Amino acid sequence: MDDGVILVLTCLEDSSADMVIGHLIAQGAQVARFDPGIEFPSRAIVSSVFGAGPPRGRLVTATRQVDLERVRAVYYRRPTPYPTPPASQAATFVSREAKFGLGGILATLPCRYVSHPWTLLAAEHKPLQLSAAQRAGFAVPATLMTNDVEEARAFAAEHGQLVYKPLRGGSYTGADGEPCTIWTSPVQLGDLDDGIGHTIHQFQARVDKTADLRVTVAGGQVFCVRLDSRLLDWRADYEGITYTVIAPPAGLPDKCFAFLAELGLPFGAFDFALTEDGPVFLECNPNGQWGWIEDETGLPIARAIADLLLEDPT
Amino acid sequence: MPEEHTRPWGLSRMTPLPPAPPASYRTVHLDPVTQQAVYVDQNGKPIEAGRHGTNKQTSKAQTTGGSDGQNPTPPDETTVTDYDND
Repeated sequence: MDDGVILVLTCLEDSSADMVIGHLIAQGAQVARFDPGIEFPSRAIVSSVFGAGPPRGRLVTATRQVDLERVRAVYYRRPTPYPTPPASQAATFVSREAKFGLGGILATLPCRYVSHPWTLLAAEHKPLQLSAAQRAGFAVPATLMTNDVEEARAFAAEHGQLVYKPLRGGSYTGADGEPCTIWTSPVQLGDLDDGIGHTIHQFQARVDKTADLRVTVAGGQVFCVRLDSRLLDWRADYEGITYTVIAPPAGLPDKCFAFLAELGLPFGAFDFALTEDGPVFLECNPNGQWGWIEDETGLPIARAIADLLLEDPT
Repeated sequence: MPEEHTRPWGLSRMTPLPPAPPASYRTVHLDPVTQQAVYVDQNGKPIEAGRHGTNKQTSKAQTTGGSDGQNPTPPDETTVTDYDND
């Protein structure tokens, strides 16, 4: 019997992908791993034929040959982006064609995706998240996105304590070349200046929290962990976090399911601020980290993701 | 226009990342059978799964000094979705 292949699109050093692959193999699944942005075109061959009937194609990596119509599920776990070369026209062409050709082939296989790359792209946008969170029934902090400093000042005057949080995370470089980032940080009214006019900035009413919750949802399974940290933004010091597995607050799983259903995601890593009135939605990381949560708590998240990939399509 | 006149306010919130821990492996390659990554230490020996420290949410930017990519897993927000709008 042909059970098909599970295609894992990921970079070589994503150890969370290794954890899921381990469970897939243990359950007898065939796995092919591929990092299109790195391996294609020098170390992989791809062909796809479109005509009468469904498309047919093949993917040959250094270690696997896959008939694309045999792919039963795709685990899209942070593959390396297609290169963005600065200068060469040939390199730009190669990358652009790969992204829209190969990327299109890998995004239109008639199978389950955890999660679909185009769905992930939409879900990475905070404006969509905040409105969907509201519709799902979560408490959401008052939020302002603006490049108008007067609007920001009025918002600060109305809400008192604010935090600033970039709309997209990432690394930057400091004055001395040191790697930097921008964590969520408190804002005083006097901090605001005309520099706000130079792009859109996200401000939120500061939530008076007692702890944070990291809630990882994979299919129907919900893994709820309380994070105690002395910091406003726990990401700034992992050593300072205490992890406690707790039962999810009443009603929370259904709201998570509703949120993910609206966005079309089978997985999400949610961050909540825990307050005396219950959890407040901060964000959902649609392809967020969970490996370290499994390491710290023993929660079987990798297994849950593997089960999701192995489920028979209904 | 000098950069200070156009510098977006948000960049004033930049802080240095904590220093990277020492490298725990020298190289990494794909096991052709299992399709899992194999991490090899300074002495050429494979490192037990889960002991190479890549599961923490640390930044790739911390590894600017070397090509070994210790702690390469980016945090949530640097999740790269290939399809930037253009």
